[in-house]
Amino acid sequence: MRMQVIASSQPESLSVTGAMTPGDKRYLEVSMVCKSFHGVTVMEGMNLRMARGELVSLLGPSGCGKTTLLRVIAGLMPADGGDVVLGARNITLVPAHKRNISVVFQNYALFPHLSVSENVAFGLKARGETADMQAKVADALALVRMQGFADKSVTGLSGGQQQRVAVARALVVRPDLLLLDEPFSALDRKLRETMQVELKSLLRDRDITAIFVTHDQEEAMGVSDRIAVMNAGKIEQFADSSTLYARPKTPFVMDFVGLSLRLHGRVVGHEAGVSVIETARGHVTAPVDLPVGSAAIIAVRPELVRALDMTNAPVAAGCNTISAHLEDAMVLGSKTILHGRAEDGDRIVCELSGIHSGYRRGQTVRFEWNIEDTLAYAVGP
Amino acid sequence: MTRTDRIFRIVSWIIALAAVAFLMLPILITVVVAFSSSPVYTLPPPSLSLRWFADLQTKSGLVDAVLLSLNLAAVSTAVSLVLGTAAAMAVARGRFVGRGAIATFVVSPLMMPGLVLGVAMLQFFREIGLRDAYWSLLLAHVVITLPFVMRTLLAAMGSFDFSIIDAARTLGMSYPRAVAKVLIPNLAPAYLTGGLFAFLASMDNYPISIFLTDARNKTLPIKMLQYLEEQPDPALAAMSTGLILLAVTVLAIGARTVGLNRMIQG
Amino acid sequence: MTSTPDIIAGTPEKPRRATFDLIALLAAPGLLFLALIYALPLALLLFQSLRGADGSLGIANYVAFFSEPFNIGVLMRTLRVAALTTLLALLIAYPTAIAMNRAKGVWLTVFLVAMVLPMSLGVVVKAFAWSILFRANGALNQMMQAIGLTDAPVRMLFTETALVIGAANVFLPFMVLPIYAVLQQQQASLADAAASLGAGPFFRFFHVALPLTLPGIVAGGAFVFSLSVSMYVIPSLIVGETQQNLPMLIARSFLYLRNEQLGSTISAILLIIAISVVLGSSWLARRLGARE
Repeated sequence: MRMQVIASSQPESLSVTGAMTPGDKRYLEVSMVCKSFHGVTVMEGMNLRMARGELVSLLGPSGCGKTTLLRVIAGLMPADGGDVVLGARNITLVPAHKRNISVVFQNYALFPHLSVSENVAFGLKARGETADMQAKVADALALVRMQGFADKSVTGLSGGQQQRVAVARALVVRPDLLLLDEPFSALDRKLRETMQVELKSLLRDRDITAIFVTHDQEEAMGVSDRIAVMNAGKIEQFADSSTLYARPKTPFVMDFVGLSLRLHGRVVGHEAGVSVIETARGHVTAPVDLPVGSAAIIAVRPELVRALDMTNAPVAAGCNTISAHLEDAMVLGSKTILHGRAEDGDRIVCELSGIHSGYRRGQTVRFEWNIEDTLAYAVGP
Repeated sequence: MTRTDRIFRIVSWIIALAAVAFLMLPILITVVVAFSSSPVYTLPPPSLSLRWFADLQTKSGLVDAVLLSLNLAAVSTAVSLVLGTAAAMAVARGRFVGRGAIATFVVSPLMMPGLVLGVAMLQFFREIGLRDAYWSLLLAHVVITLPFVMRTLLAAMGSFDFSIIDAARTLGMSYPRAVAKVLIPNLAPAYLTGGLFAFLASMDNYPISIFLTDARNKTLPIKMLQYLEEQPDPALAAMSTGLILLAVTVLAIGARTVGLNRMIQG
Repeated sequence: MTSTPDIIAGTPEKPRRATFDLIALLAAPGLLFLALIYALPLALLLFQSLRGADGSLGIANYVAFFSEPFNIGVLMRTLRVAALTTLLALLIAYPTAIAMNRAKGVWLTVFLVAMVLPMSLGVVVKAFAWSILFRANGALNQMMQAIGLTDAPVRMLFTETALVIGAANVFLPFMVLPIYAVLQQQQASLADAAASLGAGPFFRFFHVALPLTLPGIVAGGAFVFSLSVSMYVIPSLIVGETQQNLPMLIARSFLYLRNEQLGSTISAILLIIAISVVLGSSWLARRLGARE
């Protein structure tokens, strides 16, 4: 595990699906890109590498720079420095309309004065690729199951229908890369899940390389092979969803991807590979090397926490234990979530499988988890 | 952005700034002439003086014309605001056949040649025996101002969320009171803009008014043209400068209370 | 099985049944007023124009008007000047509206004030200011000689060119604001979408920007054209009696010739032109709006 929190933008290149040539792994390479607005640096030293056929998400809160990065890759915004290389081409100075990178926008950006099929045909006409245009348009519409809407006006379509037309329009030109800027955010929840599944299988079937921008962690995890978690213009971690969840590199990633029990404290002891952190709830041991005396945060995923209501049972070996007064017990059917009362900034949460209705507010509960499941980060001197 | 885009953008900015200068040119000329010491319109002026502003006091006919025009503009605008609010509400809220036609009809006087309207009204008033110049002018000026008010109010009501009136009613207000206390204040920018344009259109109207005036009731534009033909001197420029100042004041008030951009965009 | 409405083809909205709504009565006072003071006089005017001197109905007045070559010349001049003014206004207004659409803060205020403030000046003063500018010893001539464009004063006053420039100046805001309004309503991402699909700047202009601003151009163009066709004060001060247009002819008939019959006939012709412009532009607007 990492020593300290380093807000670095080094991508973690994990293995990707299928057999790829080394060149393919760097199908899209963004190097040392930087961008400032009105004197404020939004992005610096940005590096990103993805393979052909990969589905990647840029995940982060608003203002983290994910949309800026997308627009730089698309060519809609020039970078102040750095390079963007796609396949064998350095496209850094190539204007947007010559990059062959399609974009699906958050509000779909369908042309209101054109019909559905005219919208889809737009890119083909713009590029002068009018051979078989009708057939290509029909195929693209069939792909998104909108073939019955060819001559309809786009202004009467629902959100989901508009999105599908936008996708068809973006794909009919066979782009080298597809970018999607929060494509599902305007849809209601039910529809969102359906569309995510549809889109993912569509892209997979056609081996299309795509980057999604989203602030919804579940969406990112559902749709992509790898997720770049971004914060303040930097990629904090770039990995697949299980790695992000089980082994988050920084407290930010840990907090952003999934919920966790977290306590802040100070490192009071350190041996080879193991540190002891003193928190308001007692000592916690973590399998991480942290310098003694530094401020730290420990965390553990709620479903790895067990709840014992026998406060005088012996502490099991290899486990961390804390006690807390129960704030709330939420019985949700498939799981029960216990919230313990915690000091400012801390959170005590435990997820139990199934229905456990015996808990009462105010009761003292002991929470226990395995030492090796503990995540820990130094956050300062 | 490609280089062509950049060139497009620069060229459009240059043209736009030139257009601003183009539009401001007559105002500039007028103000400069107003402060000129020479009775002839030489530019640049030989020296500056305030004599024409002082001279205005002697031109009584001009002052009367200003008062008449202000009167007509104010009264007709007020009447139009009332009639226009009612009509705009009917079109915006009603669900009946011919809504669009009514909207088009009420705005149509804008597109009609003023002179033709003047002629038509002159003959009509004569037919029905209306001889009083003031009342003829007032009726005509309501026709002039109503379209301006309607246009702005229709647009504003079209994007107004009427459910807040329902909310007011559930809180105990009667319908008329809700309109007075909820609708009108919220539509303030539209009233300000529509009223302003209507007022200016009335003050500026020549072609309709020329047919309905008589010797004693001359509106400002008519009097000004007469002056220009008889004894043109920069006193007119001085008065116009005063009117410009008035307009700037109104715009400044509008900018402070409602916001200039909001005001003009309706 | 639940089928969300998006997966099956959407059903079109059922057309609203036209009913009588009490709220329509609110429009009554305004409508009544306009009908009496505006529509009725115009209708009477049209009717009058079809009446001969002996009281019979017919188009004799029109025939008399069109058989004079002078009158036809005036009509052609009126239409020509109006068309040129509209064209000039459009050429200036379109880029201006585009720049305005991008402008923010102080610059936007500058533009908006430039559109609105001239209206406070009044057409008489504006036209007169232009006549001052266009004089042989006026500022424009002085400036042109100073920068070496011409050697001797160019005659600008009493020319059609000067008239078109002056009229375009007065009517410019009415061309800019409708185009600006349409641009404001447009999604900003449309240009980006077009670019990402492979459309270069010219393709984008002709296939996206221009079609979408067409309603504004039609509205502004129709308005400016009808204003130009009807203008009286501006030509009076810039070209005077030497080049009359229809409105000047009408005024002359009434105020100087005391020939009301002729004046009414010409008024009717002008009215027909104006109505045609209104109908033509709304037909065009509807066709543009209904395009798939």
